[in-house]
Amino acid sequence: MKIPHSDQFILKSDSRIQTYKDNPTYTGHPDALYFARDFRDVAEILKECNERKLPVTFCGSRTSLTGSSAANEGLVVSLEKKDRFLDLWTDSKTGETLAKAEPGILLGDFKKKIAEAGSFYPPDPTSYKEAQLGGTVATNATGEDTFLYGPTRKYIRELKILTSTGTEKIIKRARMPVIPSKNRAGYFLDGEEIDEMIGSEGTLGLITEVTTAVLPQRFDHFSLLIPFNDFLASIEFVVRTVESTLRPRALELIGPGAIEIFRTHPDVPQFPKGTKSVIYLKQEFGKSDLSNKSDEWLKWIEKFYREKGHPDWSESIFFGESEKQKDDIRAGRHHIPATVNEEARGWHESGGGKISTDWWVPIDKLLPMMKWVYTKSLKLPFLVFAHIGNGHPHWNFLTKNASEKKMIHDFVLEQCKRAVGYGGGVAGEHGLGKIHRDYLTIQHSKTTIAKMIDLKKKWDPNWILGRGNILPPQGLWR
Amino acid sequence: MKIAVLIKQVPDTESKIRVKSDGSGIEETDVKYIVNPYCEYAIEEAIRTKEKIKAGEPEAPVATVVISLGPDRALEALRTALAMGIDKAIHIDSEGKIFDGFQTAKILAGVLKAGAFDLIFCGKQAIDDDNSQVAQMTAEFLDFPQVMIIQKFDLTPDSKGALVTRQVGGGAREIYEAVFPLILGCEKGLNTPRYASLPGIMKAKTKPVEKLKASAFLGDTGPLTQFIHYQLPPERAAGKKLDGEAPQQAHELARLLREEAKVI
Repeated sequence: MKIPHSDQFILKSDSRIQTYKDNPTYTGHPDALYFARDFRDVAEILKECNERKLPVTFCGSRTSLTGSSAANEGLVVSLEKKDRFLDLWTDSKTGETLAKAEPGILLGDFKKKIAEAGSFYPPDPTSYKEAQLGGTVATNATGEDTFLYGPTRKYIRELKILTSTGTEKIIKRARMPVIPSKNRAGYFLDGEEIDEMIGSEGTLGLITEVTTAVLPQRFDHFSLLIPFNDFLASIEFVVRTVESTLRPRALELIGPGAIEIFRTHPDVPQFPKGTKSVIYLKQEFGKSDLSNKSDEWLKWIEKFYREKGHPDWSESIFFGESEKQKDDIRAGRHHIPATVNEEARGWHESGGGKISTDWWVPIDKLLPMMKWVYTKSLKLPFLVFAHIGNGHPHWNFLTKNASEKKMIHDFVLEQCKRAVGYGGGVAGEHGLGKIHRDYLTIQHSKTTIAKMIDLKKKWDPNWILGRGNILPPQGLWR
Repeated sequence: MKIAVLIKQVPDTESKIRVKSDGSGIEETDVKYIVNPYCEYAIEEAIRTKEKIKAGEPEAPVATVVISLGPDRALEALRTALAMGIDKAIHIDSEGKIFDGFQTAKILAGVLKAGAFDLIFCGKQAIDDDNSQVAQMTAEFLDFPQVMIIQKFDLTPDSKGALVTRQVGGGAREIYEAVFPLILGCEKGLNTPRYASLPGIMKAKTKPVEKLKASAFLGDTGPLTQFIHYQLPPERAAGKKLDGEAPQQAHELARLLREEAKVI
C-alpha cells in the first residue's frame, strides 16, 4: 500500500525541497516534504509511517540553532499553512484569559492579535517575527522578557496533538510545576503529561493546536542602553542589579564582538569611544511612575559609574520610549545573530561555521564563569551577547574549517561541564536538536537519561518522530 | 542666534485608531501620542546647528526653543524635545479647541514674531492629517523665506545663512542659498534623530516651559476649512472563489471582470 496523500509529497529530486533541508547551522537530507493542510490527512500519514517505521520530522520556520527541524532522512512535514488564530476568550471557571491558535501562526502575528484585543502574551524569542508558535512550544522558547515573565511553559494551558500512531489527543494542564527560567537539557521530567510535550523538539508528537494563557496589558515600558568601558564591569553591574530590588523586564548583554555589529545598524545610538560592552534593559512603568522609575535607574547606574571612575558616561545612557525607538533597539539586537549566521554560512563548505553556547549559570556564579570563558577566548574570534540577567549569555565562535570547529567544540564542552558544576544548564533555550545531543550526558546522570529513553519509547515506540533530536537514533547507544 | 522648532504631537502609528460614534473625531483613550516623526528631524537639526556654532565659538549666544500648540498632553512632546537637548519650551494651550492649518499658522506666527527668531525648523508635514500647509502659511504670515522638504542643511561660515538642499522630481536636487530669517520643512534623510540620554530625561523636568494661550494670538481669525465628519476607510470586501475546472473558471472570471468589476 502507498503512503496516503503521497501524491502531494515533494520529493528530494524537486528543487522546492531545498529550502526545507536547512536550519541556520545544520543541513539535512530529507526524502520528501509534505505541507500539512488538514490534520486528518497528517494523521493518516503518521499511522502509515509508524507501521512502516519511516521517520517523520516536523518543521516550523526552521530557525532552530541545533538542527531540530532539519531531517536526516524520511519525511518532513511543514506546518506553515496551518496558521490560523482560532479564539480569544475568558475561562468562566478560572477567570483567566486564553488564546488558541494553530501551530503554524508566526509568533509575532499571534502576539499582535492578542495585543489588539488588549492582552499580552509574554514569550518573545529574538526570532519572534519568523518563528512559528508550535516551534516555540516544542522548544519551550524563552527571550529577553523571560527575565521577568518566565519561559513559554508557564503559559501553555492545553495542547491538541497527534501521536506517533496518528491518534488525536488533548492534553490539559492540571497544575503548574516549579518552572526554572531556563531549560537544562532533554525532556522535562518534573511535571505532568503536558510538560513532557513542551520542549520535546518534535520527538514525542505533533502539536496541532495550542492554548495559552495571556495577561492583561497593564504596563508600558522604556528601554535603556548602558555603555561600559570594561566588559567584566558590565557583568558585575548585572549581578548587582539582579541581586538588588530593581525589577527590569529584560536585562540583556551586548558584549565584545557583538557591540561592533550592533553599532553598524543604522538606527541605534552612538556610544562613547572605548565602549566594550552595553547592557540593554527594559523597565515597565505605570501611568504615574515613569519619572520615579527613570530616576531610580539613573541613580543606580551613576553610583556604579562613580565607583568605576567614569561618571561622565552617564550622558551616554540612552533612553528609548517611543515604539519606533524600542523597535529600532530590538532590530539592532536581532541584527547581531542575523549578521553572524550569515557570515558563518560562508564557512560551512570548508567545514567551519558558527558554534554558539547555550549554557547558563546561577547569577552568583556568573562573574567567575564569564571571567574564565573571557580569558580563554581572548585569542579566538568570538562575540558574546544575550540573556545575561538569567546568567545565560550566548558566546559565538566563528570557525573557518573542521579542525578549528573541533577545537571550539571541545572548548564549549568544557564550558558546559563547568556550567553544570556551578549548578546551571547546558541548553538554556535552543534545545539539543541534533548538534548538541552530546551535552545530554554532561547535564544528566545515567538514571535520568534512562528515564528520558523510557519516555520517548512510551510516546513513540517505533522511534519515528524527530529522529536524532535530543537522543541518538534508536539503538546507537545500546 | 535664536532657533525655534515647531513640533506637533500625533498618534503613534502603532495605535489603533477608533472614530467616535458620532463621527466628530477620534477616540483619544488608549491612543499613544508621539512627536511627529518629521518634527524629530527638525529637533535634531536645531540641536546640531547649535552644537556646530558652539564648537566653533564656545561663547556664541545660541538658544533653541521648541514650540507646540495643543492640549495639555502636548507637554509630553515638548519634554521629549527638551530631553533630546533643546533649551526651552513654549506650550501654546489650544484651550479645548481644534484649529485648522490657517488658524494654527496664524497663532504660531504670532508667537514666533514675539520671540524674534532667526531660524525656524519644522517637520515637512504631520503624519496625522498630512495637510502639509502650516509651515508654509506661517512663513507667509511672518514674511520669511521658506524652503520645504529639505534633506541637507549647511550653515554658512558666518552663521548668517545656509545652503539648503531639497530633492525634486526625477532625482534632481535644488540647492538654495538663503539668508536668515528662514523657515525650513524637514524631510526624512536630513539626519538621524538622537535618543534622549537618561540624564537628559531627568534634566528636561527642570528646563523652563513657558505657557501661552492660543486665543491671545488668534484674534478673530476664523477657520478656512472645517472637519465635518470622520470615518474609517471601508473594509475590504470578501474575495470570491471560483468553482469548477480551469476553463469554466476562466469563463466565469472573464464574465465577472466584465459585468461586475467592469474593468474589461
